[in-house]
Amino acid sequence: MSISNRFSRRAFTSGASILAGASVLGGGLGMQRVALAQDGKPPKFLIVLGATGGASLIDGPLGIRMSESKNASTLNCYDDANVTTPLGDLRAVKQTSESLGPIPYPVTADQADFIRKYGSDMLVVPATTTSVNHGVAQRRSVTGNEAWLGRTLQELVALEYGKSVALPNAHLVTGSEFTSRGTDKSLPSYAYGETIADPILWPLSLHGSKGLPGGDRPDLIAKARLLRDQKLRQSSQFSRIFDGAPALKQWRDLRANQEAFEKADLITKLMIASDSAKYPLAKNGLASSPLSAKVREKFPNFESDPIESQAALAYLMFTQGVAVTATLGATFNFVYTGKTQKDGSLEAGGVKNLPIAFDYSHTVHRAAQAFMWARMYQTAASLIDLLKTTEFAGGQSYWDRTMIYIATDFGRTKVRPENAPDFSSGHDLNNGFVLLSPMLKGGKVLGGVNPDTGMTYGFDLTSGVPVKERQTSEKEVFGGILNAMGVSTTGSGLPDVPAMRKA
Amino acid sequence: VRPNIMQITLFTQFAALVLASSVLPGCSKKEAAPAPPSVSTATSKNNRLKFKGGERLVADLATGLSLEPSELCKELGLYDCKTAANISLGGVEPYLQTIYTPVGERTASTANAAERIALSACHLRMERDFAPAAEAALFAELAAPAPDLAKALAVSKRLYQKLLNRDASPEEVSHLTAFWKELSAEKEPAKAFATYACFAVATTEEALFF
Repeated sequence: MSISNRFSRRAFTSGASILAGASVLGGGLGMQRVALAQDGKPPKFLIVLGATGGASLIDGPLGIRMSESKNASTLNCYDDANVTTPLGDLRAVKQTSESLGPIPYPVTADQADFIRKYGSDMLVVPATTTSVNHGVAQRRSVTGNEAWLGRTLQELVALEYGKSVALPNAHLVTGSEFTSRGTDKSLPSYAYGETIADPILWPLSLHGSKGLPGGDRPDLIAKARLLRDQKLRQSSQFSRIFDGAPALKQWRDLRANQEAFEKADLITKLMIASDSAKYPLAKNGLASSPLSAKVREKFPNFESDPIESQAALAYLMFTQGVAVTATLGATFNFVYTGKTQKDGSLEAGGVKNLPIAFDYSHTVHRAAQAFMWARMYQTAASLIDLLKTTEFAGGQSYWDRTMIYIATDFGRTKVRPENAPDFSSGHDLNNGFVLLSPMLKGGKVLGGVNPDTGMTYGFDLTSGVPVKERQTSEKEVFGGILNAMGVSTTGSGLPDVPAMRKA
Repeated sequence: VRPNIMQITLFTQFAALVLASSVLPGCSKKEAAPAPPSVSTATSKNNRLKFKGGERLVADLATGLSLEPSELCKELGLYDCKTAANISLGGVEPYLQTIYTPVGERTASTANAAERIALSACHLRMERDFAPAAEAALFAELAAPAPDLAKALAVSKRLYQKLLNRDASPEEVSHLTAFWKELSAEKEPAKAFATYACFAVATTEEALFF
């Protein structure tokens, strides 16, 4: 696929009656008529993958071997054989658990394959955050603790690269503060997130009639719309009385762009599902995205696993030029098939998401962390594979221009009852974040972890040299991500973090 | 407090002019021909309008078209359209999607989602009314043999009564009857008019906002 196939806001708005020099209209609509400027800056893409509930780094890339710790019996560290270092100083934890606490579902997870395959693009940034409240902490992980006028990373990426695409900031996970709206109300409305609650059926509502009874006559639909918008509206007292209402202005703006959505055929291009009894597309005059087979191969459980459907749509939105940032992630909901085996345990693959996600660590820390880290890594791996094999332009793949930010609320407490194989953990400010991108200085940890306490420490922002006395802040991670993404931070007061980005 | 939407019609002014022209001595009919009546409408100062949202939209359409809310529109013939586009239409879904309050403002797909429901509902009403031996609820005149302009006019008036709970103005009726004429070349103009005139009225701003 070449860059020319992308769906530009310019093309998107070309069918609409754009006011000369129109600026962004007020409100929070994800799509607006905007004044277009051809800045010629090809987009970069950000995926925020929400590791909801507290993804503990010492159960992942900063795993500690028992032999390394003075406090091995009471610290959350693992048998030496279960902690490997597949690449650079990135570690992997291997775990087996007969159940997820009271949930009769065995867990076997080994993070080594992921690190081996994708570790060269992986950067681990230990940090100490500022809240152990889930919602507050999630929000701070995308605003850098309100580091730049309360703008979110997603809004800033959309602002930088999304001016000429239709829905630059896609919010695919719901019920999460990873998708909270920033507090800077002065941004153009296209920068704010568009909530997409159902990635499978949502594309249907990008067309006003296709696939419905009566939708087989687009010519008559067009005439009816013309009748409504040009004649009946002019004759309507209601429309005249409320002509100045902001709600109607926004509505009219939406309607002005409807046709362009339809012409772009996003109802097809973003359709993940295949023709089936559950999704009878052909029978209703619809079809799957031409890329959907490739997507479904990587996300075979998209119908039952919310994070797979989110990731699948994110990929389609990027490669069809509809979005430049997508936020997905685990929700707090328990997702499972409910089918049991003879021994009463849930069927293999029958648990998709844990109740309260990573926060299920309150019940069984290690099993929960193992299950959820595997889920995050699997989602990231599938996305990277897809993006790597899709050409952006000039021999570059989409992955060459994409960053996956595994954002999380906070860490977990570091201790355990003496020699307990599994245990309950609480919330801890000390932890860090995992980033994946060819735009990063990957294959390493920026800073490290004290094997006696499990506490992580920071690094020199310029050289990247570990500094045990230093803690990396949310603001520094925020700035480093924007630096690596090539987002202009002029005037922001954000620190420059050359240690994170490739030159 | 709802805004005052009282129409200020200047018929009194017009009546005064007519009266004056008839009683004033020396004013011949030629000289005193009054200007066409001007009708002006006050505009709202508060402009407090709200999108109906999925629940009200479906309820109003179902009532107006004499259909059950659950049968108005099915995506892929299987999934209730309002449920499928629940969040786009301003709904909440606390149980699975953890959305406790509406997104806040309309999303990019809201207009299309609303149109899909209206189109499907109008088409269903048309099919029912045009079925053999059907007791038509909305399009009786058009479903009868030899539909013509007069019958389209009757249906036009009924569309406004059923969908907007008011009489259509003469101007609005004339727009709809013009639409009837526009569709005269269609193979089945009565069915086309029933479906798409209904769609047009059901998706007017007045039908979607309150």
